[in-house]
Amino acid sequence: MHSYLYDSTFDGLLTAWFYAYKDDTVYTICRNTDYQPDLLSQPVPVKTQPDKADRIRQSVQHNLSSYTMRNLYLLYLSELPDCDLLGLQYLRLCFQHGAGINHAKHHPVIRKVEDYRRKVYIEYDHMKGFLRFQQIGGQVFYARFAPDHNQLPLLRPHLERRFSDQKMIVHDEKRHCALLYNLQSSMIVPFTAEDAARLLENSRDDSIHAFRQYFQAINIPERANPKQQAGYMPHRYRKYMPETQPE
Amino acid sequence: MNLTDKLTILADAAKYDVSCSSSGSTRQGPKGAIGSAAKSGVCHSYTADGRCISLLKILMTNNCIYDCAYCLNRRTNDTPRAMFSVDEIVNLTMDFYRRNYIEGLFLSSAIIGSPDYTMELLVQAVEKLRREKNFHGYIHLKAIPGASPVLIQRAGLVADRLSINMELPSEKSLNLLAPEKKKQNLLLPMHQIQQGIVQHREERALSRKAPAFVPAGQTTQMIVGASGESDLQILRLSSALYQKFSMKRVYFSAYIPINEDSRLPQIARPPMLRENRLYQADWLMRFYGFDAAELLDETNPNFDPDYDPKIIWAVRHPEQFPVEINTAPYQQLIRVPGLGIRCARRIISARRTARLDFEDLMRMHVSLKRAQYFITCKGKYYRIQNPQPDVILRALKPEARSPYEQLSLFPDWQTAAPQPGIEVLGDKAFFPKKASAPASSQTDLLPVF
Ligand code: SF4
Repeated sequence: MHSYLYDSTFDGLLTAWFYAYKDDTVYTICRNTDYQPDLLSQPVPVKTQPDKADRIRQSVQHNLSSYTMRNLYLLYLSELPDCDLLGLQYLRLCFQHGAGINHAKHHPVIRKVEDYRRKVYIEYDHMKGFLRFQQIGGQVFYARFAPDHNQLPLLRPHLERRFSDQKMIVHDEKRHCALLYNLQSSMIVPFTAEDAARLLENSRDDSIHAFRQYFQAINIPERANPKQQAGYMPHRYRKYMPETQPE
Repeated sequence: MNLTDKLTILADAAKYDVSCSSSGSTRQGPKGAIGSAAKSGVCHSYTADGRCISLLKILMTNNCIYDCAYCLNRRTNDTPRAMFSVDEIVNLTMDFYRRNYIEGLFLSSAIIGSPDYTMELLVQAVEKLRREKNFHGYIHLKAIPGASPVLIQRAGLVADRLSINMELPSEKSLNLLAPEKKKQNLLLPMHQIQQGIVQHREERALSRKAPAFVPAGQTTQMIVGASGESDLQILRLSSALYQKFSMKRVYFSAYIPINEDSRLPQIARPPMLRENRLYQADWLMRFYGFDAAELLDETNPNFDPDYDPKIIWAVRHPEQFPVEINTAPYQQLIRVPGLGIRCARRIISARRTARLDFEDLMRMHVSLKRAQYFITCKGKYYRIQNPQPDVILRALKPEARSPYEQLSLFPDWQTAAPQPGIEVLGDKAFFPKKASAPASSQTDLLPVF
């Protein structure tokens, strides 16, 4: 049995799928940082090869559909348990039956792919709203968050479109990286807690005080419904939403 | 008074306006501008009452020359008053928007000086945001009843959405509780906005450069439970509003007793369950192809507190059931209690590849709790054969409710409304077409009212 290990990039995962596709002794596929040796399988480290990755891309776009390609990418971003292996099963299933198999919402693999896809998009919709910037001097704005799924690549076009005239640093604390936007273009780079601390030194943004007041004032106590509130705005996100935190 | 104190007063006074939706408009500024709006809207936070915060919802002032019985801001109430300047509104919006607190602005106001004076200031604030600040976020502006058509026209060119509140579900109640607001002052601007939307849409079809006018459409709101109308009357009025004025949305707000007034009913708590039933019915009419007359009639003019309107409709129409999952058309599937739009789409998609049984349904996360009484798979019921209405109603009887009526504004099957971007396959084809009604003559704006 083989455990395929890749370097955490999407190209790496595509390369791993490329080699694992014809291997009927695949035990698992995972990031080399997550790998834990076990007795049942041998590790197979995969070296990322952009040309192999592109061959999968081309083939999926050509023979299947861009919807299928999008699903594969979303599986990668989901970082949910077994998402890499699920991607391989999905890929095999689609090549076996054609892209039409995506209609079979009752098929266990298709169902799971749809579930993962939905989870990523639900959080994406949340994050579009829940992300909070603070001004750190000039027209520079900093936000931090720790989403369950890797959201920065999805948020990037949205943020660039919306805040095209403000410099931004959006820091994913869980994945230690940040989106930097300088009014011209953006990139995602490694970013540590120390980097953030240095950046935030001496910065203070008073607007949050006003927003907190607003958040209190707009509530209707006669209609109190904390359960519904928690359903829509899960507690794990609130740490980064200052209006829900005491002064 | 400092800015935060004003904000506290003027947000508090605006909170009874239900709408906070930022949907219906797609906007995108050029690079170097700020703001965008997405068709489906975004929620930025949720208050302790479980409502979405999408927009900065404020009154420009709560100083009012009118004296509507149900309103906190009425002239005769002794309550702290405040007023924002145009610049304060503009700056607050920009500050909040840049920090991603909000999707845009929902600006309303009590009537200060005169309707025209108030409206002029509101329009100035929005024009300034759009023209000076290059702001392309979402703006919902309240049109002041009695404001001149010129101002409404200016407002429509800069706002995404305009609304004028119907306030009460009949002319009689309006005369009783809001005597200074005349029916014609509410309906005429609604009519003008609708005409403007149609006209500008035609112009835009000819030239992409023609300006947009209220691209996210108009909405309205009425208070439920402050006056004696039945659910049937309310539903009839709201469907007339949808048809006559092409409303995007009619909101209901459960009457909250704030003022002591002999013209108002004595109630301890807002009738939230009733409000909820009306929303369910509204949803059925807008997305599920139901007609007001199918849900209520003269013999049953009010909704059943124990069951949602779809179940009641279903048990009254045994001839429509059972619905066979493998062959029923979409319009029939969505009428099954327990099946929402998302479920129906999944079923339609999956049955292209195989004949489905109940296990397949469960695998697709279709809940059978309610649906099992109304559907068959391959000709067979799930458990019970030919369930009778009384059996169904007994099985689905809700547990005793807590006195606090903690209700979700949008119960599960409502949140399954079409959400662009989530399910992709074949989405468009399944959207029910919305009928648009022809414009009416001005004298007969709303006969049911
Ligand atoms: S006009 Fe509006 S703000 Fe003034 S009292 Fe009537 S409802 Fe209240």
